[in-house]
Amino acid sequence: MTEGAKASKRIARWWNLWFWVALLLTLTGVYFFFWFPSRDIGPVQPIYFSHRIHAGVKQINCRFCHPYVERGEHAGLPEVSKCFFCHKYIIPKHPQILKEKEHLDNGVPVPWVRIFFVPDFVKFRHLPHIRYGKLDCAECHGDVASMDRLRVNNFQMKFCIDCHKKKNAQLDCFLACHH
Amino acid sequence: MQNLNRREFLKLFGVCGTGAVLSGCSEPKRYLIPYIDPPEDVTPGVAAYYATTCRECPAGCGMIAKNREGRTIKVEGNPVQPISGGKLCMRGQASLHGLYNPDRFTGPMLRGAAGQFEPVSWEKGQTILASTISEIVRRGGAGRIVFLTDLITGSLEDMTAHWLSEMGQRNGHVVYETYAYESLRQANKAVFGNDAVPTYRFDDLDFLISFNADLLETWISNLEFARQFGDFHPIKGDKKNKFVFVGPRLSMTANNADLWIQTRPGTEYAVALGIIRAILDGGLMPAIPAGRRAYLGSITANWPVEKAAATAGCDPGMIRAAAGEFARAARPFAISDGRSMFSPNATETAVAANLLCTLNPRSLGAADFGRPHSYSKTATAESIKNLTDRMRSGEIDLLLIHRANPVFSLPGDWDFAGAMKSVPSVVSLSPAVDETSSLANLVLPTNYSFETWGDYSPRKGVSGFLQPVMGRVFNTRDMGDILVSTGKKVKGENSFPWRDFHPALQGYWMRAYKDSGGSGDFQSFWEDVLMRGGYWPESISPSPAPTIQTPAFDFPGPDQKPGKGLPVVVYPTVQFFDGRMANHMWVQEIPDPMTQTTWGGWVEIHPETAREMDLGKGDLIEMKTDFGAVEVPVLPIYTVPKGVAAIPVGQGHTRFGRFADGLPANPFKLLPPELETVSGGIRNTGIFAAVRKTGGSFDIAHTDGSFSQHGRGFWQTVSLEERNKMAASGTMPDIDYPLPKGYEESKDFYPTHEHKDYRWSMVVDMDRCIGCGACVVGCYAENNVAVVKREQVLMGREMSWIRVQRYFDDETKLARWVVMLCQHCDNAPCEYVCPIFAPQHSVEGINNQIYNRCFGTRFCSQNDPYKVRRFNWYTFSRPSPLKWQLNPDVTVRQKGVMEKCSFCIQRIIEAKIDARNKGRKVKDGDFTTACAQTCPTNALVFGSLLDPESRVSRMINDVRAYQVLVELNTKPAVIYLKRVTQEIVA
Repeated sequence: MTEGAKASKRIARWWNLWFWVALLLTLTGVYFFFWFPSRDIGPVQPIYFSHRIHAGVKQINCRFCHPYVERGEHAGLPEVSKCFFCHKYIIPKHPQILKEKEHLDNGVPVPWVRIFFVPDFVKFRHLPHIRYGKLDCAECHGDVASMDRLRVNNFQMKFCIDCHKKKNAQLDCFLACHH
Repeated sequence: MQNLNRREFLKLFGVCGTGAVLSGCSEPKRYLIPYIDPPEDVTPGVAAYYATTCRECPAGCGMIAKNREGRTIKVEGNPVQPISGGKLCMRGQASLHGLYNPDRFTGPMLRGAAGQFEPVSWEKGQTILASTISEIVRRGGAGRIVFLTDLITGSLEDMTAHWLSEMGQRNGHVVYETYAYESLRQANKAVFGNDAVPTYRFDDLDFLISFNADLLETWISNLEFARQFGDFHPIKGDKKNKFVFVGPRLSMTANNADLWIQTRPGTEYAVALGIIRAILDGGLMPAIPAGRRAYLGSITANWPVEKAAATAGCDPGMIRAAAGEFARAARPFAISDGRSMFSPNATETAVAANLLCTLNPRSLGAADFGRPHSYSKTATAESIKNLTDRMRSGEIDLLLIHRANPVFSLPGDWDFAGAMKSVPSVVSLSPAVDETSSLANLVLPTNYSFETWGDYSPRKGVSGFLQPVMGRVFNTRDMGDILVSTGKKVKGENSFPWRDFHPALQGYWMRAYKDSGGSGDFQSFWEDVLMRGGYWPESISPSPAPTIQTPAFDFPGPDQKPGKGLPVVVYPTVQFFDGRMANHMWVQEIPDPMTQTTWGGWVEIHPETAREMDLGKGDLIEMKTDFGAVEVPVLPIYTVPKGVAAIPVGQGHTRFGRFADGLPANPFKLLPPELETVSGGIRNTGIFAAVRKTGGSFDIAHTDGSFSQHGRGFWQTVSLEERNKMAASGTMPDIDYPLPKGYEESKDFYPTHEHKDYRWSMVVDMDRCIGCGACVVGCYAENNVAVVKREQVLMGREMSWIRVQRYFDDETKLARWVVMLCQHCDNAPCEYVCPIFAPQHSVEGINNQIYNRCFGTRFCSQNDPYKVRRFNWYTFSRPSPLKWQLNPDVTVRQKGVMEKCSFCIQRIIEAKIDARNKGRKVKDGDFTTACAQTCPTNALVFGSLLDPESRVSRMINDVRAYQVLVELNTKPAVIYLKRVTQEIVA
């Protein structure tokens, strides 16, 4: 075996090794990015609020905290002071409640991370969906009552159109969403 | 880092680049910000409405402000308020750009050592003011403090008077309005015995003659008059009342007249005297009492019709025609401008017009002196001149200025700015920077009218309330609060026993309520007036007609010698008023009704005169009078007679913020400095300018393509006789219905559209349209239409969805308007050419433009015969806080997207939801589009053609109906009604 052949074999092995290492790294990356289970549990919120406990275990009606869902465009967010309707008495010394209390006392709103949204050129209104479509919140927002952190649902147009077709709702671009 | 070699640099560059790309992949996080404690009135996503009063000019129209999530996004007229009646003019619609003006003072400012404004705290600013006042009060003297404000009334006027008297000052409050109507007041005193501007009512007249009074533009209460004009002038049944305009320039108002009597500047009085003489000579009104006849005969002895016509430079036949109409009319009336700065002999003209009115005492009720307009309180130019002299001689120690800008609007020769230098302290309370405020030592910025508590009474019997319709945009305070807190600092709690201005305001109204005989619960009265937007007791009945005086009056003889140079007419426009609107971006962007010019002033010269003088469009010329000079670009146009030039006021600001500065030109600086001895107004002896070409040019950013419609029939007129003949014979208009019944196999290639529930449509009555452009600003505000500014307008890239196109009649050279917007054709040429169906026909007949689908081929615009589609050449942005005005219900379009009128689709959706909540379909009149909502004359009517009872369904069968470019078989859903013309003959 000549020195040249030896060298080319070594280079081939070198490249072979690199190929597998690169593939492994890519696959690991892809796995962590797309399939890793904990990715699916939704973004971390500034206060560890659990929908599972409030909507699931305690069975609080969605409309208690999101009262405008039948009245307008937005469902509405509970104001900081609303938390203390209950938490003035229930676990008031819990570290997360204390953190929330700090927000209330300082008058600084909690910057909740937004989970459900549509792009700016989609003019979504809750009112018709709840009032006329008689949809349940869970049909779009998922089984909130079983989730601690809410899972993101990327509303693509197909999501809307499928349902609109099924329910025989209006399909006009302008009159419905895009104006 | 110094050892970084090329290889390492490339490595680092690669790593950073990859990192930058990767981090760009994920969308930035969005946040939801909750309230700490929710405000009472806010439901997220649902608008709250508050009644307030427009303070852009002294007309005082009632407004309803639409507030979404704490930000005011739209204003509309208050339907129950007697002045606005639910409508707003262009300036009222644009008032939000004053609130969100990025050049407002962000907080108190003190002039530093280097001459620049430096921010200070409110505490420090007010302490400085209070110590200045204490020092003046200690030294004594009753005229050392002057408070120069715009026209304020009611509680704030009361508080100012109280404050000044506590400080030991007398006559310290000077109300400065550029337009004080000195001549009108003087003429009313001479003829009717009342030194006042009355409340006018034109809607039940049958003949009106205006001597240069631009009642549809800026004159006294232009929106109210435009509404009344909408009742007075358009065709009713088979009759149409007559309107004659006498003046030197074809203004928007003149162009709405049935007859424009063109005069030499300042000779309108001759026409009025000629008319009186013609009526007397012809015995046209036999009912005139003999004493009156003798008096008028002696006044007009020198003015036979021929001589009057020769003086005015008009055809004597026109004077006879106007006289004939006046005599025949049951309720004729005459008005005159009465602003001496704009025209020579303004007092003479106003007296002559009043004398003309006295010929028919039955219609004198049109001017109600029992309810004087608040303009009657404004200081005359003479007292402002006195103030300037007192300032210069050092008699004044402290000048407080609130929203008045005399440095801009007074004659340059008076040098108000120089006089301000002689005043040791000048404190500005204006909300935004202007030429006067920028010379102040201390700025304590007040709230804009949308952020303030207060009231404003435009005339006796009508008080509009102001309440904060949103939180403050900048660190500003109420003027009343500043008065109370500085008053406390100087004179203590006993003299100013209020917490702030609000309890003082309530106290004022509690007294007023008791005085007017109110006995109920004050709190419920208060809540009621806040909700309704003001207090206008219904019980005030029109006062008796004024007693007619017989003043001796000398009218200037007919043999006046014209001055040397080009005669110049200076005139106010509907957009700019006296220039105070120039820092509103919308006002700059909306084309002038007559010249269609945006972003910059101009001088109008008749095209033939321009040719003779070798002046082309956009040539900068210097116009020089004995008192000042301006540089202004030439615009050859037919709005002025040959040999006359005209310059609009309002532009030419130097320190008025980024949108107004540096645009030509301010003609106030050409005004003569003398005063009229009789009225105390500025004495315009005729402005004659020497013209010199500077060699430079300033491109005129106009939006019209041509003066002529080239026979295409965009505007169409019909004479009254012909219209009546057609109506009598039952002729149906030739309309291609935008409905299945408009389908004809012989000419239609595509099948017809079936509509579900509604077929939205608009009727534009061109007999009602006065060309004012309020609809355009309403649309800009409602639909987030971008403002493109001067450079882009010059390239023809303005974004307006609705425009008031102006053409000139090829023969008469009178202007004709046509309101052009997307025609929502049933057979739309734009829809067929789009490769991706971005324009698409909806089931309710609207032509949709789907922004997120559009990728900007512009084929639709190319194929659109009406040229109403607008392309976003850039992502046009709005400097903060102007973007707070954006309507959250409408997508903000970005670069590369086509857009156009949507028939206010967001309002349609809202109305449908409202109706569905009530368990019914949308009814005619439930809602309307933003343009139709604000139209003062109701020229635009919106509705569904599937409802046979709707107004549009009935109007499209009017004999006057036509469609634009109907020969293209587009089947437009916007249907026009022809303008009705009538002759005025002797």
